[in-house]
Amino acid sequence: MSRRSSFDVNEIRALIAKRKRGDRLFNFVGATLIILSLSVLGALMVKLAIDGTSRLLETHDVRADGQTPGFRDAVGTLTRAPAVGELPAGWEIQMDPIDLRAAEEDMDLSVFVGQYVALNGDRPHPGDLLMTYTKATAIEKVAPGQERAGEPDLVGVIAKAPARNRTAYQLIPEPLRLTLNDEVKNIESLEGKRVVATGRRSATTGTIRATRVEEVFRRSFFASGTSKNASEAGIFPGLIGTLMVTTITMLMAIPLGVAAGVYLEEYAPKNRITALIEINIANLAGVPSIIWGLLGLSLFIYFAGLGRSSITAGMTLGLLVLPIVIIATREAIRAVPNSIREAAVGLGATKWQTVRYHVIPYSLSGILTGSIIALSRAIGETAPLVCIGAVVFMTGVPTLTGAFTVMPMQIFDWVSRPQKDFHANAAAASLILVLVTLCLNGFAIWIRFHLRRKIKW
Amino acid sequence: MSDSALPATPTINFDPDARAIRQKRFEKGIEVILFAAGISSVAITLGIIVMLVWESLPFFRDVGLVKFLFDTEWSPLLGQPRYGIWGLLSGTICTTAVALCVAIPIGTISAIWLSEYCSPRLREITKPVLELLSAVPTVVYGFFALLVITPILQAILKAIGIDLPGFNMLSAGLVMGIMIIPYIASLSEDAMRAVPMSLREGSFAMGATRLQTSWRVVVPSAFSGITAAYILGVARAIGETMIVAIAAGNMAGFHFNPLSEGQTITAYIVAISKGDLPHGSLEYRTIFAAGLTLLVLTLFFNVAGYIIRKRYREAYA
Repeated sequence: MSRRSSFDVNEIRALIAKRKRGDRLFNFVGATLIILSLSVLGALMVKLAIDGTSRLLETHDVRADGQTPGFRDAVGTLTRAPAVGELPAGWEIQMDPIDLRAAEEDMDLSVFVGQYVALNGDRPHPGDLLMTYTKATAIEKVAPGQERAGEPDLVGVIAKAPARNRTAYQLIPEPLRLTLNDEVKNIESLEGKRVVATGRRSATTGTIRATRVEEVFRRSFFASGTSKNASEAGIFPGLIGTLMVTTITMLMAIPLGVAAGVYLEEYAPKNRITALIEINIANLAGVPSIIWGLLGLSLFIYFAGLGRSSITAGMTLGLLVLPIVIIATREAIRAVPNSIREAAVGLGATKWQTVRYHVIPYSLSGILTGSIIALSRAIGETAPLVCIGAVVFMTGVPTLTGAFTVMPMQIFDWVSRPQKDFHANAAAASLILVLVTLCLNGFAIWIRFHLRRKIKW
Repeated sequence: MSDSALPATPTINFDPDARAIRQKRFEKGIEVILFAAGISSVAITLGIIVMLVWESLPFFRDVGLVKFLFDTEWSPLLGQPRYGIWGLLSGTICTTAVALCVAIPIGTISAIWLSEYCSPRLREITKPVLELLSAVPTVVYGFFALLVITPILQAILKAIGIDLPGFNMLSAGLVMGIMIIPYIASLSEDAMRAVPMSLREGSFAMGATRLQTSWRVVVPSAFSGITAAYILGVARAIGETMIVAIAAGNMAGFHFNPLSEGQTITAYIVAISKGDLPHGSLEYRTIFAAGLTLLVLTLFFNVAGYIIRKRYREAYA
């Protein structure tokens, strides 16, 4: 920069103002970038909530007498009541239920031909059309353009053709025509009246009920297992599997990790071996998760012969989170001041006595924080479990030594499918997973925060 | 002292030497157990290396190292299989590059803001919340990349006239970058905080603004720590699996175009593990060969980052 022999006050003021402007601009930019990054997280949560509500919440009809029908009841809607005219909102036809799910067992499907049934398992919304169950020969899939009257995407095929009847059955949507049996004096007297719903085929009977809809938590999502029908598939095996696998993981990682951390901080001499162990742990913390899966595959499944089970998964994840526990333990122990150790030794305590009765109790909250972070990491890990062979379609509940699945695996499978229905399942399960993870991490942050305030040496 | 005058005292079996010996043995035992726990980490590392090498050695014997390292097409499951790792490495490099383009600017600027501009109370809240970004399970990020970012990018690029395929490396890289921001921001901010206040005070005394101080004094002093942060971010991006497995597709190819489908090393391993491969076949061994490559890469970056970090920590000790 050239030396100025004369100082122009205004120029200098302009320069200073420019610098200050730049400073304020950077302040703004920095804060905005952080807010933008966090808003991505917010957008993620919003997307999950929007997509997942169809699987997590459902509308329930509450009958006038307060009873709540089970959600598998068949429900019909008044689309046209020729004898009466417009019924006010809040009135529905409670169709006599036909449980189509019985068709999955070995029974004669011709019983259902012509009946009006609700979609298998899914609860139609008020205003949806019902469908007839009819027999179609040799048609398994309806080609585009060949759909009958009604909403084309409601046409489906019964998932499993029973052994006896090899024919594929087809559901055809049809609008309902409703006739009241008795004479109607006024709207309120409709409650309890029987109706006959007729379509192209034979009639089905039902009763008019007053309804009240409320949004309730869809328990079936948490209680049911995998299914080819997206709206029926639930996360129950995933939940049980995650619980089992993470329990084994924590049982393995916490004792081993705390012991290793205690050794490195309290007992290890400052020599080459210790430096090697330290570098090792830093390396292990950075190993990609898929490689842990390969380790589990080669070592636990084939070399040790443990098979594709929850135990293998738990041990593999235990090794994966071990560095996290070790590093957290070391930091917690390092934070304990030396005066405490010296005081204990001054009273005649041995090394183990100081560690066990003085150092570890003070570092417990730090160890707890590290364990919670390790736990939240273990819950969300998918890649190693894919390698170990977590299945995605399982009947029943995961066991310790048999096939197993975990929630992230379910999400991975549902997201990878091309059908949009399963994406809603993935969104709902992801929402649960993210909420659990964020709660755990938030809890760990809170503990750490509290720690800093509480401990006064 | 005469025995008859005192009352009979019960004899206590008090042998101080035996107790000391017992205690010493106990202490030694505890130390051995703890040492075993400590050395287990070395055993684990050895186990990983041995296992990867042992499982992929037959693969390298069959295919040959030269073809593996220098061929550009990776198609081990075709009739005429090709085993060039560059088919997968190009995918990894491409996604990592996109991720770094997002994470490095945002992470560094966030770190500077956090360390120089932010009040300490606000920092106590903001830093952990920022780290929450990296705590979200990566499957969920993959979901986000596939179902939110890809449609948005498709809409944006269609306005320019570019057709973005459903599986592309751009959205996977972007989301990966967002996931890595906390790593880079956190480590860089630690590095910047380690710079002594006296340097900053000297700069302020000369009349510099915070912007000038941070860019001309703090960042150059903390440069090795910031570089370590970048390197560790690269290592994390290389090893990321689920985001690319879900959003970037399954077609390995030798191109560095983020607007198309690609497969990384990690996504390949996942794709093969999902299927059914007979144990011991050549296709089965390809995942170990790919895993070995991945391990070598991440080990290199992790060790480099660790060494640089240690060095900058000692500089201000």
